[in-house]
Parts: sequence; C-alpha cells; structure tokens
Amino acid sequence: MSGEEVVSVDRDSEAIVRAILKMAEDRANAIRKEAEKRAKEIIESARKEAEEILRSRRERAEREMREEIARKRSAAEVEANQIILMTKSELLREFFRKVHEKLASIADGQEPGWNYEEILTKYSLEGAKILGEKEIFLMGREKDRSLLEKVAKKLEKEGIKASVDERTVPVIGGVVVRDGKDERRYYNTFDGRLRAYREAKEIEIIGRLFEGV
Amino acid sequence: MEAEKEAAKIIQEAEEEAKRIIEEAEEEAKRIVEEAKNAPVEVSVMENVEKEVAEIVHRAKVKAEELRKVASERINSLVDEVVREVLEGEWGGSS
Repeated sequence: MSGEEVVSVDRDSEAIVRAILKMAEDRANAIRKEAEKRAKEIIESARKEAEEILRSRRERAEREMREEIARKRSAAEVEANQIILMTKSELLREFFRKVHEKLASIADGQEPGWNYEEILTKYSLEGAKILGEKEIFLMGREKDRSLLEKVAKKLEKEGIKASVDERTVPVIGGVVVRDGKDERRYYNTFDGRLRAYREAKEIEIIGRLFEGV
Repeated sequence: MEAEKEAAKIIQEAEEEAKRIIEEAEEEAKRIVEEAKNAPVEVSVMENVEKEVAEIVHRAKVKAEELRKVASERINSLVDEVVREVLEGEWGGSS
C-alpha cells in the first residue's frame, strides 16, 4: 500500500466514525425530544385531571352548601311555626281557662247578670222533657243541694215530681237529670256543654282570637 | 469498533435521560393530581344563611308577641260571648 493509499483509508475511516457518531447523536436527540414530548403530554393530562378534580370538588361543595342552607332554612321555618303554634295553643288554653273560671263563678252565684238558680231550673226542665218522665231525680254539686231543692219545688209546679239525688257529681255547675230507676240520665252540666261547644266551635274561636295577625 | 461503542454509549445515555425525563414528568403529574385532591375548595356563598335563619325565628317571635297582644285585647269580650253561648246555646244535654 502506497503512502497516498494509507492517507485515503484513514480519511475514509474518520468519515465513517463521524457518520456513526452523527447518527448516534441524531438518534439520541430524537430520543430526548420524544421523551420531552411525552413528558409534556403527561403533565398536560395531569393538569386536565386536576382541573376536573377541582371542578368536581367545587360542584360537590356547592351542592352540599346549598343542601345545608336548605336544611337550616327548613329547620328555622319549623322552629318559627312551632313558636307561632305554641303561642296560639297557649293563648287558646288561657282563653278556655278563663271561660271555665267564669262558668265556675256563675255557678257560685258571683256573676251579676247571671241567675244560677234559673239556669238549673231551665236545664232540669229540659232534662225532664227529653227523658219524658214525670218523676225525676236531680244530681249536682254538693254545694248546689239547697238550690236543687228549690228547683225541684219549681218543677213540681210544672207537674213534674222531682227529687234531689243523694249522690253528687264533680262538675263546675249544671245538673244531671235521671229517671226513677236510674236507667237513663240526661247530662246538662256546664262541663258537658263547654266540651260540646269547644268541639263544635274551637276553629271559629281560633279565627276570632287571631284574625288579622 | 470504538465508534460503535461510543455511539451505543451516546444512545444509552439519551435513553437514560429520556427515562428520567418521563419519570420526573410522572412524579410531577402525581403531585399535580394530589394537590388538586387536597387543595382547599372555596365556595362562594351568596346568602348569609345564619342571618336569614335568625331573621325567620325573630319574625316568628315578633308575630307571637303580636298574637299575644291582639288576643289579650279580644279575650275578655270573647269570654263573655262564649260563656253566654255555652250556657244558652244548643250545646247541652246528652243522654
């Protein structure tokens, strides 16, 4: 091999080496570039996932907050209704307590404008008529015994034989009329009348007590 | 042969760097997702519900007071009327 030939072979070898290294560098650069691209995709995907997580958590928190607000509002409305209902109930109790008190006062003869004896006479007559008996017994409070004796005498003038029963009844006032054999009774007491009245008219009374408020 | 070894080394280093880049990206991705899972979420509440709730109850108390006032003005005359109806009306008598 001549000297010129040796120089030529060295140059070819260097060219081959450079080419091999160049190819390797290119490949290395491509690998790095591909990795960076993939890394960007991974980060981008993670950011999207994070946004979705945050959006979902925010929506859930807002929904829970709205539900909590609705629960609190509803509980407050229930409490408000209870306050109103309890007040009405208390005032209605107070009202009927006063009615009861007044009826008791009338029965004790302490109310001007009311004649308890006349009331007992009227109630006893009603009872006698309803029972259709000519002989009746009157039952009332222990403290009404003397009044009932007077009533019995009045009834006799109406052609009804009336006696005062030995037994008494625990009532505010009024009378229980019974037949001779005590098979039938007619209750004309203040308590019964008040009970019947309340059953029939309580709603109307509520309306009148609280109308316009 | 030396050039081929050098080339293989260059590529291997690139592959190792690529692997590290991907692993770092994956770590960063995990961190981003975890952060989103644990970050405090702020909810804008337009209504001041506590104030509204207190207002509802307060209104009921005011109304209850008004009911007491109005009812107490009406009770006495209504008691007289009801007592008359109870004693004179068609409520009595059950046999």
